[in-house]
Amino acid sequence: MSGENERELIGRAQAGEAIAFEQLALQHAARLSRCAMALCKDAHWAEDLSQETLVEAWRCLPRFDYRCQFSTWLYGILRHRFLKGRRQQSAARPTAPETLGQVTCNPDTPCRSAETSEDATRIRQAVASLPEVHRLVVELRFFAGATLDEIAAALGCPLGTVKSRLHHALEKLRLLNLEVNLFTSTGESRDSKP
Amino acid sequence: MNDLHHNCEQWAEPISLLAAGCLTTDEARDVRRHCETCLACRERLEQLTKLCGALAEPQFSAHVAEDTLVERVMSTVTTEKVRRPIADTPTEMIQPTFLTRSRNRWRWIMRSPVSRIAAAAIFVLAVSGVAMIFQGGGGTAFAFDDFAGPVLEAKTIQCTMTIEMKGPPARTMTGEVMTLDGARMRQVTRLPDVPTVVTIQDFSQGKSLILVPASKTATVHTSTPNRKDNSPESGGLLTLIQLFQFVAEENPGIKHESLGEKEIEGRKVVGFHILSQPHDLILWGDPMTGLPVRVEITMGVGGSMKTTFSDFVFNADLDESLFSLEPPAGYTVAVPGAKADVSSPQEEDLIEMFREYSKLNDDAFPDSLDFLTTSTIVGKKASIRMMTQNFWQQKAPANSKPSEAQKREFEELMEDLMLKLSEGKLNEGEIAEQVEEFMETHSIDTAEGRQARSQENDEFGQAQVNEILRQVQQGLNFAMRLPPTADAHYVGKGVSFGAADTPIFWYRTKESGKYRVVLADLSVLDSDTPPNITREQ
Repeated sequence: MSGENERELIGRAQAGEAIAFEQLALQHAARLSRCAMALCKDAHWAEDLSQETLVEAWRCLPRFDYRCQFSTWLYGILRHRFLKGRRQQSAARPTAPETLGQVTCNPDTPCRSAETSEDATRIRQAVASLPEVHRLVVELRFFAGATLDEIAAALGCPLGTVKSRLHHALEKLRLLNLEVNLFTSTGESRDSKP
Repeated sequence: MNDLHHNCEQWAEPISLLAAGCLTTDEARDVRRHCETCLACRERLEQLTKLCGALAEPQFSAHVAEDTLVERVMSTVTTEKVRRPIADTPTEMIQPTFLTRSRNRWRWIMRSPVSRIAAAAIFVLAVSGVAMIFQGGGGTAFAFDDFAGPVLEAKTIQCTMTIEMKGPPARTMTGEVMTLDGARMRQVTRLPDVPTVVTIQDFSQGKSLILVPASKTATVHTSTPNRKDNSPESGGLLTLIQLFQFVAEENPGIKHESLGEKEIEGRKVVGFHILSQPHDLILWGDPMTGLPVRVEITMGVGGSMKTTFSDFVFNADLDESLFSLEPPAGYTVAVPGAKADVSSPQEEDLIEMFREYSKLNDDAFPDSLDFLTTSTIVGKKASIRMMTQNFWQQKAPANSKPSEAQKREFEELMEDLMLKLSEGKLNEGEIAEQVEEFMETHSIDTAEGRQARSQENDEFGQAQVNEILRQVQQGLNFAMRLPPTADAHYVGKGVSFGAADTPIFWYRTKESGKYRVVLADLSVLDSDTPPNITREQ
C-alpha cells in the first residue's frame, strides 16, 4: 500500500468509514500479530492482544495526527495494551515458554518445515538463548517484520537503543554461529568462516 | 570478542543494521563502500547477511489468520460497544488495578531502610567534604494504572527534574534522574552558585554515594533501619514511583480528579490530579502511548516546593557503572556522616531544628522553612563554626587565645575559602597556603602550633556537622510532611530566639484538633484557635 493510499484510508477511517479501517487492519494485522506473539510468547494471548490493539486503534483513530507512521502508532498501542494485560494477568496466566519461532501452527503452514528443519531448530534455540531484550528485537525484526521505529514503539525504548540491541543480538548470534555452526544442513561449515 | 580492527569499530553497528535491512540507501552505500576496502568488515557483513537471511526465512514467521482476526475486529467495532471518538473516560483510566508484579517489587524495595530517606532531592554542599542530605518528606500516592504501569514496570527510567522552591529566596534546582531495576538511582542536580552534585543510591543495599565533581569529593552514606510507618516518603524520582505504587495498592485517603485534556509541546495529554496528604500530584500523560509526559509534585508548608519531572525515557540501555557505589578514582572520600535517620520526624525534631538554627545564626530563626535554603545555611554555618573551633584548638597554640575580632576574621576567611573550594576555584593545598598566611599575618604560628599541626587530622569536625544537619533536616521534614488540613504556618522571619510570647510556628494536630503553637523561646502551647498573627511568611 502506498503512503498516499494509506493516508487516504486513514482519513476515511477517521471520518468513521469502517470499510476503510478494515482495509487498514488487513494491511497490518499479520505483522501486528507476529509482534504480539514475540511479546506475549503465548498464541492465545497474542491473538487477544492483536484484536484489542486494533479495536483500540479504531477508537483512538480520530486522535492520530500523522506525527509518526501509522504502523508505529499501532505498535505503541500494542505495547500499551500488552503492559496492561500483563499487569492484569500475570498472576493468572502462565507464560508459555515458547518463543515466536516455536508457535504451534497449522500443519499446512510453513511452520511445518521449520519443525523438521535442523537449521531452523538450531536458529530458534540460538535466538531463544539470547537475553530477553536482545531476543525481542530479533523476533520483532525478523519474525514479525517490524521496522526499527515500530520496534521502538512496541518496546517503549529509544530508537538508538533498538539499533544497539539489534546489533549486539546479531553479533552474539554471529559469534555463536562461528562456534557451533547453525547452518549444518545447508552446507555451511566452520571452515567457511574466517 | 572482537575480530575487527580498532578503526573499524565504528562500522560494527552499521554493518549489523545493513545486514538486518535497517539502513537507508545512502547509509547502506557508505557501509558497502567501506567494506569494499576492508576485508574484516566485508567478511563480517557476509556472515551477518547470511545469518539475517536465515532469520528472515518465512518458516519462522508464525502463521497468522489475519482475515479471521480482522473479521472479529470489525465485528466488534461496528457494534455499539465501541463508540468513537474514544471516550476519555478519566474515571475509567484512573481506576487502580492490581499491579501485582510491581507491587511485590516495591514491597521488597520498601523493606530497605534507605528507601525511606533516599529518594528525596538529595543535594550536597561541597564544603570541605561536608555532605548534606536533603530529605524530602511525606508520603502519598494515587492511581491511574495506565500511566503508573510503565513507570513501575520499567527496567530503566530517565527524566529531567526541576525543583522550584518558593523560599525566600526563590530558587530553582535542575537535574537529571535515572533509575535501574527500580532499586538503584542516579541523580545529577544543579543549583545556581552551587557545584553540581551526583547522587547514586542503591535502596536494596541501603547505601548512597554522593559525588561533587568540582571538588572531587565523595561521601558514602548508609541508613539505619528505623521505620515506624508505611507511607511512601522522600522526594526525587523515587517519590514519584512510590506515589504510583501507593495508589496502585489502593491505600485509603487518595482522591482522584480528572483534569481533562491539554497540549504539552504539541502533544495532546490527559491530566489527573491526585490528592493525598501531604503531596499534591498532577500527572499529564499521553493517552496514545500510555506514558507519562509530565508529573508535578507539590509539597511543603504552603506548597513551598514543587518538583516537575518531564522528558521521560523508558527502558533505554544504561550502563551499570553509572550506578556504581564505588568512589571514582581521584576522588577524596570524606568521612561518612552520621547514619541517616529514617524514623518519622516528630514535633521535637522541629523544635531542635529551630534551636540549632538560632544557635548558628546569632539567635535568628530562618526566613522560611525552605528545605534547601535552610539546610544550606546550616551546613555552611556549622562547617565554619567547626572548622574555626578546630583551628584554634589544634592549629593555634594554647597560649595565643584568639580575640573576637580574630575569630570573626578567620570565619570570614573560611567562608570565602569554602565557597571557592566548592566552586572548584581552589584546591586543598591552596587553602592550606592561605591559612598559613593568615597565621603568619596574625603572628600566631609557633613551634607548638607547628607540632600540633603535624599530628592533626583533617576532619574539621565533619561528624558533628553532619549530625547537626541530620537534626535540622529531620525537623524540616516534620514541617514538610504536615498535610494541608494541619493549617501549618511559619512566622519566624525577623524573630529572635527568646521571646516567650511570640509565636513562630503552629499547626493543628490530627488527634486532638487543637493547635500546637511554637513560641520564640521554643516552648509549645496548646490552643483551640490559631494565633492572631499578621506577619505570616
